[in-house]
Amino acid sequence: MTPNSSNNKDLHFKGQYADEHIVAFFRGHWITLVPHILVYGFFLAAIIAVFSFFSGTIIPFFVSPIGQFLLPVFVLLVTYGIHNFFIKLINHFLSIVIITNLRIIEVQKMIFIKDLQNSLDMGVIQDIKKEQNGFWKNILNFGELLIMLSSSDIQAIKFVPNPNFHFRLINRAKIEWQQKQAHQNANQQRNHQEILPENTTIASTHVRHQLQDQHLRQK
Amino acid sequence: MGTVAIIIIGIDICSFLFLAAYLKRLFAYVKKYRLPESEYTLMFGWMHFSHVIFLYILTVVLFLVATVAFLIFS
Repeated sequence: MTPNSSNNKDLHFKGQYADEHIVAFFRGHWITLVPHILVYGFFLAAIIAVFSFFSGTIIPFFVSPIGQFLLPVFVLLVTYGIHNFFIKLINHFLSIVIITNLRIIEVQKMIFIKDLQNSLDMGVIQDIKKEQNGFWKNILNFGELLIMLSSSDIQAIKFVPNPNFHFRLINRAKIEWQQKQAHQNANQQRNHQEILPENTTIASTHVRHQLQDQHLRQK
Repeated sequence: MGTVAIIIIGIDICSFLFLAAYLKRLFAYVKKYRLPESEYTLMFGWMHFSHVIFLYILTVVLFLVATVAFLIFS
């Protein structure tokens, strides 16, 4: 978050440009984790309940022939459950959206299975739409950002926390980018005009450009 | 040592090895991102990434110890 530093190359993430600074970043809303937490909580509560209700008979049961068969199955299921739950929590941390002054980067990562990166330049963004329809979305303050691209595609970012805030940030970043581009274009045009010979008044842009090129070549 | 005990210890070893391999890859990946966290980016507004990693290691190790203890004392 150092807007004035000139060399931000790879400062906050691999692939960051030298003149790029981070406006904000966010992860999906915690609501995406609720199903996993509920399943894991239920699973844990069931194990605790079984062990506490049958505390006297659980060890003799696992020593019996049928128990000897079920014990490895139980250990395998619990082990799988633990790894599955924590990997889902970690995946939540790894999937991020970074808003910079030049682009929006969406990263979705699962350590062994998935590695997806999507970068949208501010130049290809036409419009941004915020959708927050439904009771829970308004109560818990999350929603979708729909980004209309110049190729008439729509890129959706789902489960955005505080969508109003991020909607404003992207809009502001886009306007700043447009202003910067307009400023750069004006400067380029001015430099181009300065190298034209004096008293040259030509209406046709094509002829004017040819003359400019000739003049540059002569120089 | 019975067959059941060998199977359970095998599951425990696989679980531990998976945890080690997962964490190794995870830390190598996380090193690439040095993003400034805030209350809006943390889980539930307060839970850091390191808390989740710590809980993960703790749960796997506790379950491993519990199964071995069960095998010894049963």
